[in-house]
Amino acid sequence: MPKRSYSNTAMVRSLRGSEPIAYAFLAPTLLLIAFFLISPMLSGLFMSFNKTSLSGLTRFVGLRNYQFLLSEERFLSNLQLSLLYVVCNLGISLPLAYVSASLLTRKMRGTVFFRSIFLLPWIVAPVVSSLLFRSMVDPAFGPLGMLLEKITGQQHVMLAEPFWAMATIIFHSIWRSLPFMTLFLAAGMAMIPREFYEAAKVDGAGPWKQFCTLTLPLTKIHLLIVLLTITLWTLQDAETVYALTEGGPGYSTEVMALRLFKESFINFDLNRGATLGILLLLVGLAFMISYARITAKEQD
Amino acid sequence: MRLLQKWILYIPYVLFSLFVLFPFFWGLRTSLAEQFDPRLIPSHFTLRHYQTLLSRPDFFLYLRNSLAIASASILITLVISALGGYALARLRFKGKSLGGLLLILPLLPPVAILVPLISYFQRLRLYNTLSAVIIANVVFSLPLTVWMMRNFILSNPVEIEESARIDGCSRCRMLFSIVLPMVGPGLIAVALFVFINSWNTYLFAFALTSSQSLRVIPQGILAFLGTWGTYWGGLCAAGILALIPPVALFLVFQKWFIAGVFGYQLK
Amino acid sequence: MNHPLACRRTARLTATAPAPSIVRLRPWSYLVALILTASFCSCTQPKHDRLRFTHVFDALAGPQHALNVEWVNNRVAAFRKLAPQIGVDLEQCKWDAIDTKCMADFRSGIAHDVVMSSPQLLAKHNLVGDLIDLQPLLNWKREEESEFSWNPMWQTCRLDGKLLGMPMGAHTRVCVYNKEMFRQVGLDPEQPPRTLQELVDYARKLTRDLDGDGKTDVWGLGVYFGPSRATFEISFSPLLWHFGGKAWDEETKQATFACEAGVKAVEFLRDLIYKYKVTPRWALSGTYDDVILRSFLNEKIAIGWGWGSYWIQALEDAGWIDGCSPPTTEARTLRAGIFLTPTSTHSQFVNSWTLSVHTLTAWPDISGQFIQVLLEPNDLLKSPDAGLPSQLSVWQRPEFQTPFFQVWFEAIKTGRPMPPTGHFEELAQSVSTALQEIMVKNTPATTTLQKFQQDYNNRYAGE
Repeated sequence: MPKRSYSNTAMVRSLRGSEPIAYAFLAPTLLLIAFFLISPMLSGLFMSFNKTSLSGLTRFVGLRNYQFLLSEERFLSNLQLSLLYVVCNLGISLPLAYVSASLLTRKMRGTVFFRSIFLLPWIVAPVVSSLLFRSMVDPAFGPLGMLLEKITGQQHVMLAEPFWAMATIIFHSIWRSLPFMTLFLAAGMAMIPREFYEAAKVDGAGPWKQFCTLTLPLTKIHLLIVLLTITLWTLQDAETVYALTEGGPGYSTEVMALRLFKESFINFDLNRGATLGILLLLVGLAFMISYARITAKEQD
Repeated sequence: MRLLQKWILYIPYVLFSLFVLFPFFWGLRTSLAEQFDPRLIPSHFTLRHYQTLLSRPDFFLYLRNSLAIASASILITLVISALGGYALARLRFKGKSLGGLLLILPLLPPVAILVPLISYFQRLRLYNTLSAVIIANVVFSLPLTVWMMRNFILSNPVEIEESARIDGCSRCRMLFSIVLPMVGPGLIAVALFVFINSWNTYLFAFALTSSQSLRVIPQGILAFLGTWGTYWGGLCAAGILALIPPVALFLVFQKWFIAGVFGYQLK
Repeated sequence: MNHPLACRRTARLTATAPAPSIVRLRPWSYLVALILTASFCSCTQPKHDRLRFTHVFDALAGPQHALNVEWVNNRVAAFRKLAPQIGVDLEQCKWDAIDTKCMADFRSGIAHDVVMSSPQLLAKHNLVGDLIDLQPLLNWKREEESEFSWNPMWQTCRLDGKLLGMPMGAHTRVCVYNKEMFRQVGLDPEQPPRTLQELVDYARKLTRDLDGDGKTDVWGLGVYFGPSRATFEISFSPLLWHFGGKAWDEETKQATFACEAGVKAVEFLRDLIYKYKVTPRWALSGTYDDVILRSFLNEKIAIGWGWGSYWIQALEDAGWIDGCSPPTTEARTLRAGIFLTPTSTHSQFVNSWTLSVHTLTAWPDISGQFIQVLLEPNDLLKSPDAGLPSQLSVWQRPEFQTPFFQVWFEAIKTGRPMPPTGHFEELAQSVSTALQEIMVKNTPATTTLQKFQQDYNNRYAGE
């Protein structure tokens, strides 16, 4: 019967190996990505090897843009600040996320309501939340400024001091990412059966040991995803830093992404902006590779 | 004693909620206070900022544009990432292992790519149209959404599909009538993810359009940062109004979203 | 489960000969593809068959902006009456991005017609070549020039013999002071300071701790030192000019802000905060309007340096002046007064919005006509962002002859524009950042300024 022979052919074909329809399924994705993501990036790579004068004359300068940036004090500070931003953000919110995730996995009434609240920092536009924070640390009437004054006894102009300006930026990004991380890790932790924990308790393992041997390895996939997304978001974040400090007192809160935005859209120096884009991409790749290495090592 | 214990368990939730909500309280307070009122609790409340916003037709124009972009982006992204995710999840083909490279693509900072993208769109004669913003939103969401769809499809048992295969279902029909209904929560999760991204991004509309009739809500919010002053009351009011559609969507689809992104166990 | 059975039944109905799986798409998918393609095609770029006017006003952003947009619509209606054969497309861009967008669009081949720009950036536009000479378009007559050339800002509109922008109005800054506070400390409210030394002395008297808690509640002098270019334009430049220096030399096309005058200016500003203690530390962050406008209206500062003409409405709304906005013949100051910047040259930064025509315009002559419609003085008065009048004949009207407005008139006449360097933003950024480093991190003034000047000249000298 024709029907049977068709399905047999198809099944045989699929058992044997590749199915060409896969290429049709992937075609829209690949075409769009190749045309609108990869080729502008290649164009950006090409631009980073050129220099264009204001009047439009372009000339090839090789690696000179890179040399200039890598030997510039301001860029090295940008790089340091970007790394500091990512590390502080993750370093503070990750332990806090695990702690709050363990507190929140119990089944209670109203968890649905709380979970919607916890998603709010992710839903709100970054511009709006950073401007809200900016008005909250306002020295004239911002509540956070007043709170800090009560704690330290001195009046601080938060956004005018390099340390406190960076602290505000990091606090804002912790505020945005912590609830999301908590929910994600809580989902991962909820998948671990209670019996494991009880068995560990019977074996005499304290909470820290339970965490190291049980929670951490079993939520590894969730941890990896969280690390990746938050790192990406923090590294590429120019919007919120610009809205909060515009680069801060001097250049002391200018992260790489902000420098890129300023060079491309304010100073109209597109070649330097393209160079910064490639360097930012390399930093992101470095983070990604190190996360992959760390999680792979733990598997052994 | 038991009752007290139960209430104590709520404390971490309440503290965490306060931590999450305090900027919103501040935003609400500023949107209801007079323009230069410096006190923490304003002396008298006013709805003037909201009135100024809602009395102009422009606000609804921005809302309409944002909604149009968001819904078109969602539709197109869902279709394309369903196809791509299914291919990566179930189909065997040469080069499948390169699928992991998709995770590297989000590393490309949109700001860096934007400038060449403008000339591309100009050459395609799509500059200054809503389609340009829609395509940009779709393209930048694609790597992550394809990966998400792949994971959702993978987490389904493969036996149902295999039995359908044996009965002679074509791949295409199988995708649309069998697999997708089973990953319903996943689809909703992807849709909400794309919605949030396109609702909140300012960059693409800013770079790819210039017409007054194509402006979107984030541009409207940033317009409050004026040349020589910031109209804080209006900014906070606009921010809060802009929050309403996404929050409404999340409240309606919350169960499916949580199930889709965070796993089925968290009930 | 129903699905496998449905598959079998449907497979029996539709299967004919074995066909490759790719073409066995359902009919509705073709329809969907058709609809999507059709909608994409209909969304293509509108043709350039209407005049495009790119401005910076967003009707949503507050009542003042709504007035600006009303003005635009009113002018468009007037233009349509004059030239009914052509429509007008309104485009909008944020005020700090409009010039870069203009230049970037020029490079990408995207056309605009009439655009708003800023005079500080006209030199850069001149180098990029994205704006055209307005003289042939406006049928420019020599006699008409005196209407505009009285304003020092006019020098930056004319570059290399070309007229690149027509000023829509005039924005300048004066010093504002709280008369009530003058009275409270025993100063004559009708005698504001006339020299820098007097300013410092007055400010020291006015800096007070009202509730005895050891913290200053009212500061004598508010000056802005935040991380934006307003620091360079409004706070640093007047003092640089007072001490006889300039930020950028037109002959050598190099930055010269690290000269002796620059160092003296920086040291004066630093002394305001740390030595005389008349200026608060929070003036180092925040925005320009936070530090000057809001603090003054909330009575946290007694004298405000760099009070702009765009804030006359705010004083009127607070009831501290009367009859000034809109201007009447009964303009008078009540609780707040203004005086010229008490430097030796009384110079403050003067600028405005300018109207220009994009190089890729499709209708140069019609664009010139549109600019003339926009510059109608009676209607311009209704646009808050246009500022004080740019045309001399308007200043002869009785409502601008009051003492209040004569101070503003003097301020414009003694004002100075920013240097016509092609890299103005980088210059402003360098100086503002140098100032922030000096004030916040207490680095030595001379070496820091010289370092930033050297950096700037290494990269941009000559343009």
